[in-house]
Amino acid sequence: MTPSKSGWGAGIRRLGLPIAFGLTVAFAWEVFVRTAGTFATPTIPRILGALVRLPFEPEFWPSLATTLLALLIGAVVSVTIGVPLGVIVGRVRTLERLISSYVAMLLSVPLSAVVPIVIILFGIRLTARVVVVVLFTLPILLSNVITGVSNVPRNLLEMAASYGCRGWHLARRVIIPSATPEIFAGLRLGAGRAVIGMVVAELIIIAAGIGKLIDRYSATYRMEYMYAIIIVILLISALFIHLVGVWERRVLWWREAGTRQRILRGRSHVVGGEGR
Amino acid sequence: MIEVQNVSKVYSDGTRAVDNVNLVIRDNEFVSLIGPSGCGKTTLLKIIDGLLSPSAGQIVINGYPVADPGPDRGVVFQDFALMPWATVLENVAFGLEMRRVPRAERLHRAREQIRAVGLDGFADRLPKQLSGGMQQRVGLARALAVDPDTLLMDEPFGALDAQTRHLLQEDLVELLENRPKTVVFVTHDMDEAVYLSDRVVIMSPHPGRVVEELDVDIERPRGSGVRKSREFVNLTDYVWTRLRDAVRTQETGA
Amino acid sequence: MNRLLRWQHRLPTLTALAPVFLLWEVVGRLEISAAVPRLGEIWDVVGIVVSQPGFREALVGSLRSFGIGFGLALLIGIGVGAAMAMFKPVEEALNLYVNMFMGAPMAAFVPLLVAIFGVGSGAIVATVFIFSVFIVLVNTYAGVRSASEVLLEMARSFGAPPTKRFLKIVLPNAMPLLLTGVRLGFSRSVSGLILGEMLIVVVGFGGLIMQTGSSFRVDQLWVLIFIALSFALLGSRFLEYVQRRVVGWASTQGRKGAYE
Repeated sequence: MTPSKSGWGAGIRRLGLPIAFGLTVAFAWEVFVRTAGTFATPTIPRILGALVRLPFEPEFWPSLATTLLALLIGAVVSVTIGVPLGVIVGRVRTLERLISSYVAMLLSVPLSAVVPIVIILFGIRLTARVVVVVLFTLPILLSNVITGVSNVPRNLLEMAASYGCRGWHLARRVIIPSATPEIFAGLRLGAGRAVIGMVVAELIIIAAGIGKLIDRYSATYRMEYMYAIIIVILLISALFIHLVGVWERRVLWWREAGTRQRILRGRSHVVGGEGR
Repeated sequence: MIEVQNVSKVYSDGTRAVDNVNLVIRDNEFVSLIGPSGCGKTTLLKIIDGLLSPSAGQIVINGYPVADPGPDRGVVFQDFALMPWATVLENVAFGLEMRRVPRAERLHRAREQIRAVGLDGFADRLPKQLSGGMQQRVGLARALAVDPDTLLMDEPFGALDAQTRHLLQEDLVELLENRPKTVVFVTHDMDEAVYLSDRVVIMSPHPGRVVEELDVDIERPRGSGVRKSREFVNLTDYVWTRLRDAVRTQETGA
Repeated sequence: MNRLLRWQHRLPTLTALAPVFLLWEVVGRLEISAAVPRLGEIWDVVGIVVSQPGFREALVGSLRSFGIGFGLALLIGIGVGAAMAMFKPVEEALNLYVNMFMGAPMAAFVPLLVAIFGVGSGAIVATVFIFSVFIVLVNTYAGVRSASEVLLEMARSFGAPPTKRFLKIVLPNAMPLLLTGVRLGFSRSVSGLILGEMLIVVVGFGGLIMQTGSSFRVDQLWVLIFIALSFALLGSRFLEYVQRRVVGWASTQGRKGAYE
């Protein structure tokens, strides 16, 4: 008998342990604040209070808007450039090898170092922040699109060729559908990178958005508001990635559907047709 | 002598993988367990080795009940179970290493076994550089290296193509001529079972139990010509008929 | 034979970059943009950059912070990752938080870390740490979990006790993913190092980049950027090489790590 493996015991443990751990960390933070903390480390209640009052801060919504604008424009530009470029590169063998090596390099390198150059080129306006977002997003998106396109199963391509399917048609009906899972992986990862780019841009180019707010709050010693803004950033990040995930699940519904059918069929077989 | 006494294995969802099986395997006897999937043959093998514990009953070897793996039994696995990061030599020596045999001696014994299975010269290769048949020879050498009284073989040639399978069957027969061992051999291939064994135990599923035991009276040593002999064909036909009944019973749920 | 392989391994990086340098020189000579000076101009100021007063201090400081931060990340990442893979309660307690932090923009935590650790190398070490600890953890977890049931059963059949099973079966099997985690963690740590120092401005190599940036000396800026990028790239390549040597037995080449 294995009582802890199923039913109520496991459920409580599965929920209880993370909660217990989280509470322990929160408790440790509170102890730290009250003993070794400074004005720069507010207590959790004060942070939560700031979080609640944040929407009523005058600068909050305009700053948020301009930050999100940079994020969205950057994301759209990245996708507009990245997906078609990736498809083209993925199809041409020599290009693929060359570009892939560049992309791999870009992925393993501290891109933040290049931001000062971006500032020199584009100043500190919206354009500069969009460029940074694109800089962070494009490599991972390209990498995945190229991988997806160059890994279309050979027999699929041969089949299409035997029916005379070429060029744009081939891309639309065979290549892109086949590469779609990988493309969406790229979009999901790209979403994460886009947010990172947005944050990096905001923190270095302290201009008009959330970055300016963070700077303002820390300069005026309203540290709990700075913490609150960072929590907002984390929420935006989670939401953005989640939305891309939702979009992915809708487009790739056929993957889920097959699984569900198999499970249903399997169940009736095991029961011997008696139904339950 | 291996005695399987009233062994049953029941899983938590109620499946009776093995149902009250009684079996006696004499020293140096080659016994095959054959049957369709789900008949419990692999489960029984693992229980004999001590990898699984029975829900009821026990395994008695030479008078002593046995519940854990031991140096008297060596297992050969269906998917070879070789460590991909180790050389052939290191793989073959693995069993000896686990039994704390000092390095020089275990490498020496491993080399002996490598030669015995015909892989001389491949001692420093990695598994990925070997064909399926060669990899299984490594598995066999590893089991032989600990010099067990009993070989427990779980569909060892199932993952190989027909020609390699026949070759390895003949090699196994020849090897056992020189060094007799008790063998419990799980298979679903009746040709293989009859060719190799002294006795064939036919099992059926749901629940897993023994249906019939068959003595294979074909003379040893058995060359490749045996497969065409009348006795061989009769026996395999008979096994097939009994198996078919067992499979049919499973399909109709009777 | 080994020496030849080593050079061939380093050459692909250089030969791939050759067209980039060529294109650069063309853009530079045509004076298309102030941000892209001729390679010659950049080369000329290397001496100036390297010999400036804060340079060595910044470099050493950065390397120190990186070493401590990354070392800690490896220690804790591998340790906790393995623990999560082996003990269900640990996994259940931490899984939620690991997933949360894996998808989060670590850059956002930098102002937080500065608030907690003050304006100095402590915050940098913390930044380097958090940038890589999660990816090391996740890959180690995946590696330890990927232990083959068949091989573990085989080991049991030959009488291997649990510790032996861990050392001889689980650990070697986990190495490919573990090393992938180390490699990815390295890149992330360098990114964290540079970003963190850029935001604090007065510390380390990143600080040097920011200071040079605000002086608008583009040629000197590119020298610094080149040094930073090379460090990351060469380190990453070196770790790839180490990975190939240690886990050459892994038949799947170019196996993607978790979150690669």
